[in-house]
Amino acid sequence: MKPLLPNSPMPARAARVMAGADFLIVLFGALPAFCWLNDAPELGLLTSFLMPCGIALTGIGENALLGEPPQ
Amino acid sequence: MTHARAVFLMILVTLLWSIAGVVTRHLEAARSFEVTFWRSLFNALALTVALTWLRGPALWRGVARWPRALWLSGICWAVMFTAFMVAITLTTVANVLVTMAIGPLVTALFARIFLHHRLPARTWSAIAIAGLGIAWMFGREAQAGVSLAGTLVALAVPLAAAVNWTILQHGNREDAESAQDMLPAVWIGALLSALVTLPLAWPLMASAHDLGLLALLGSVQLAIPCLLVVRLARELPAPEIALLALLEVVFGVAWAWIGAGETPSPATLTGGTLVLAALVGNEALALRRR
Repeated sequence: MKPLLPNSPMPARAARVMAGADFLIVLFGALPAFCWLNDAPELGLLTSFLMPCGIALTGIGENALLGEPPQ
Repeated sequence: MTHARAVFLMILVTLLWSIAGVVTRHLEAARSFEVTFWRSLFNALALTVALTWLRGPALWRGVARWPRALWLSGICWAVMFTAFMVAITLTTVANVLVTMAIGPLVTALFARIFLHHRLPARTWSAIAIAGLGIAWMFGREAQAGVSLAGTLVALAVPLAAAVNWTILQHGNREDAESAQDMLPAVWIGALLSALVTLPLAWPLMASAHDLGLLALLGSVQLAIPCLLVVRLARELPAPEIALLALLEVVFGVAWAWIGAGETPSPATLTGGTLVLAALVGNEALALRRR
């Protein structure tokens, strides 16, 4: 994983939390497309509503674990 | 330039951007890819003149040495130009503009995933609210049996914009000297878009009336505001530009409503309100923290 800024090493715990968050964001983001492509439009619709909530909760959870980033 | 003048010019930029939908609705014979072809071609021609005037003829002698990031950015611009016009011929202007409005939030998400820029809670909340707005619009249209093709094509615009920004940020991080004038990327995009859509547009059907309107789109709706906004980026902070840019959605929907009788559906109005509220909240909080 790349550091947050050049020459600033990312602490191992932060890297682990961010990798986990990345996985969840990609998972929530890919779910609707997966359902639509597999001929499950109703499930696709449901996951389309779940996707933004899931992504946002993941991000807010990441901030809770690592602290709010500088504005 | 004073702040008030910069704000006035930014509002003018959004007014110019917003005429695309209503002008497209008044075309007589040109359809789909042909509309894209002519608009991109006129845009490329207008930018050729403008860039030669602004940067001098020496700019073109260095084309072969333009950095890779500029060409990649040009491809993204080509996708944006093409997808926008194709989408507008497939669905309502309001649907396209609301879908495009999520651009800043998609960009923030891409920055988080690919550049590991952490996002504040306000941006995560805005992503959730705007995402729900788009899902609501999609869902209601899917239930009503309306084709989602136009909205899906329109989604390519904020996605390409996010890829564009991420490529540029990545390039700038690796090599600070590569942070440079990106106007030629817009020119590359217009040229590529015209080249790619020409075979799909054949045989050309546009009347003289259509060509007049498409020349207006390529120059007044696209080239002039692009040049202006690059200049204004030096005068106004990014959140303020993003906030003012939202006026394009309001103006664009209003023009299509007044000038082409295209009443937005209740689902689009609800979804659009959610998207705009999320963006305004996010940018207003960003401005307050400055």
